[in-house]
Amino acid sequence: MTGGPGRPGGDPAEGAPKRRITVAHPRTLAALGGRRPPVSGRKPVAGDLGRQTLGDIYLHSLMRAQLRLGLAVVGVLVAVLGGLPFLFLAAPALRNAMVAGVPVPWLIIGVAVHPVILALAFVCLRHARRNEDDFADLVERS
Amino acid sequence: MSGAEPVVAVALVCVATALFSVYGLRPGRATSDFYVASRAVSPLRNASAIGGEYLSAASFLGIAGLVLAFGADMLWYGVGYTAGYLVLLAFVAAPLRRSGAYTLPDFAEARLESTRVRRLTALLVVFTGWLYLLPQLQGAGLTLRTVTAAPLWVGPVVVTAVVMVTVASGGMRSVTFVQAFQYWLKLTALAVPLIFLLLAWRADGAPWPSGDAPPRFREATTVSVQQSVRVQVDEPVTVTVSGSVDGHRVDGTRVRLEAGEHRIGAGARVAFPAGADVPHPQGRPPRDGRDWSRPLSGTSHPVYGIYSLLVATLLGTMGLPHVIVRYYTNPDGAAARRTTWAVLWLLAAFYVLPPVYGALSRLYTPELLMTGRTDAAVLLLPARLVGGTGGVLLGTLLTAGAFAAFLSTACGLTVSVAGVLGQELERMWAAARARVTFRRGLVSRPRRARTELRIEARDVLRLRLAGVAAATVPCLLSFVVAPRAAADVVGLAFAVAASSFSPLLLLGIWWRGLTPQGAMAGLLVGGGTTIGAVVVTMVAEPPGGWAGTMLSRPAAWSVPLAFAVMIGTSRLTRRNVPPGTAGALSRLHAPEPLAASRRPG
Repeated sequence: MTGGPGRPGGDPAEGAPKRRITVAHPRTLAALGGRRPPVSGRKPVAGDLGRQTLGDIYLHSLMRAQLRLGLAVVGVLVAVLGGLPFLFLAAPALRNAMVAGVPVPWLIIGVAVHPVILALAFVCLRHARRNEDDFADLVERS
Repeated sequence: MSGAEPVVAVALVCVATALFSVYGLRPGRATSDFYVASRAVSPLRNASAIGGEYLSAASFLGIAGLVLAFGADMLWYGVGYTAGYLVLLAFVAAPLRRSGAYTLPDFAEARLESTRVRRLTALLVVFTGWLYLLPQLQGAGLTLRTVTAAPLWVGPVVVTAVVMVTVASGGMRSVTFVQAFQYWLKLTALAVPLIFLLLAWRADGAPWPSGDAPPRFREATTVSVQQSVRVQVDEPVTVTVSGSVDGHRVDGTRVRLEAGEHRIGAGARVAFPAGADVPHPQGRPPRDGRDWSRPLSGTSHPVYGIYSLLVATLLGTMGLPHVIVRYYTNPDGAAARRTTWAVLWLLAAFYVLPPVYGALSRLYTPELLMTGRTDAAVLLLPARLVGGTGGVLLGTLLTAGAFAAFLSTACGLTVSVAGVLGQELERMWAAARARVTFRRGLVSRPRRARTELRIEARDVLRLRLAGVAAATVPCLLSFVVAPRAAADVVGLAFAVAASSFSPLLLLGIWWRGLTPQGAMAGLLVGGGTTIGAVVVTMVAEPPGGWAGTMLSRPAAWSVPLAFAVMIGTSRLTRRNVPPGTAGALSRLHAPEPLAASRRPG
């Protein structure tokens, strides 16, 4: 746990002077056997997240990717759910149709909608994860 | 349905819930336990707990009752209640967890660096929580009255008492286990009887209410009227009445009810012959079978109603205080998403069931349309359709499930409302004390954050007191406010959340331009207008026609309004964008391994 009720997520040592740390793959660190990894030409980006730096630009692109994903998923959801009333208005035959003694609209709204929601959730879960992994790769490589 | 079994079932669920929380685990002693189970809960258990907390009286009893009364259009409730989690998954789940805040007011303050926004959010959380608690308590009253003929106030008092014991003894940690257990209890309690009901329905020739006929008694049925009703009879019918009818007391005599209005007194028993039309409450004619079973004809302004419901549920879910609090029990943002994914499965499995109860009750318990207690449909079906010992056992299982629904939702809501109340009280107290010491010239500033980090017995005591307050107020309200359909009232709570918290969360997470002033204005206008609509709908009689529909289903206009005001005011005050916005957004969106490497040391 990272904070008390009054300081959400607040790091107790937030106010302390920031120490720069180097981001490296654990295997790299193991291979170096405790020595500091060589400093490449550029500054480590992970430490700069939140400032107007390369890290900030990467973060912008992560946010945009996640937002686009969310809008796409929710857009499809709204199109499907919001389209159904109009489908019923436009197709009176469907509105009154019966299958096996049960009206078709009941099967659509009561049952068939749920697999669509689950499929969209699956897409969302996969891609959100991938976007974050891409971001992490990007930050670690810089 | 009567007898000892349902009472035993209710008592068992209550005692088990209370014992689980008092003795089942090491009771939570620390403040952090009280809030979030110390963040040591796995995704599936967390998802079960969310499901357990989320499936309330509205889902367990309410949807079936609305389907019984209004038909196909009410199926959208189940869809909306589920799909809200997809929106939550897409936009809110991971960032909300990464914000590290415990409650919505915490989020508001961390993101906008404003105490006033925090206080307004806290106020709205408490209002939404209490509005949501109301149908749970009234549902408990209705259930106990249906199964034991106890007075209406017994249910709310029993639920409030158990909730107080649960909340005061352990807080969130014990609640997590109780909730996870109660999801599975509710699913079982709804699914198992349904198998038997469907078998009995098939044995009856698998009928479907159709044609132009109003609802009819399929067999000779005795209706117990618990509250006096004014009903309209369309076809003259001869019934046997014990009790008061049209002002005359009769005792088991045959009475011919002519077409027209009749008044049936409380406590009367009216035996209708098979095939008679079900009388309907004055001014509320029932839909005929055709309009009932096809979409877009069960209510007035159906398309607006469906859209408003979808807006409220899709956006409102993310703002429900008891759902939000659960996101802090995930270890990280990715786990928060996995939890939401599991929740979607659990809810999809559950929400297929209630509409079937609704349809069956239109066939087999249509007298509920006459007495107006449609929320009791789920409880009465087994005795009517299966009968005998089997019917009693299944009815008992359903009663236990219904009580699990009231208790779990009420516990979750009370914990979250108590958390917010406790924090605000603590702050007010600390500020007052700081003012006093400041005047004496001892300390120059309140030592806010440091004191809160310390885990103190006094904090827990205050939270317990807040828990008692959070549970008592809605209990008193439930005696005063006239009961309405549970799913309707819960829909209103969703509408309040959708038009206040969802703009705050969505814009707070995804838009750099949000200012404290914009958030204040949006919360005041969106939340204020919706609360106004809720009060008019719940207390006064809303007008008919379009105005009434828009007041009783406010989300379709109040949510766009709230977004517009929040964005517009933020644009006008764009110089006041909080200086820490970039840092706050990076904390919300950067995956944890990187965020961790940011920390010194």
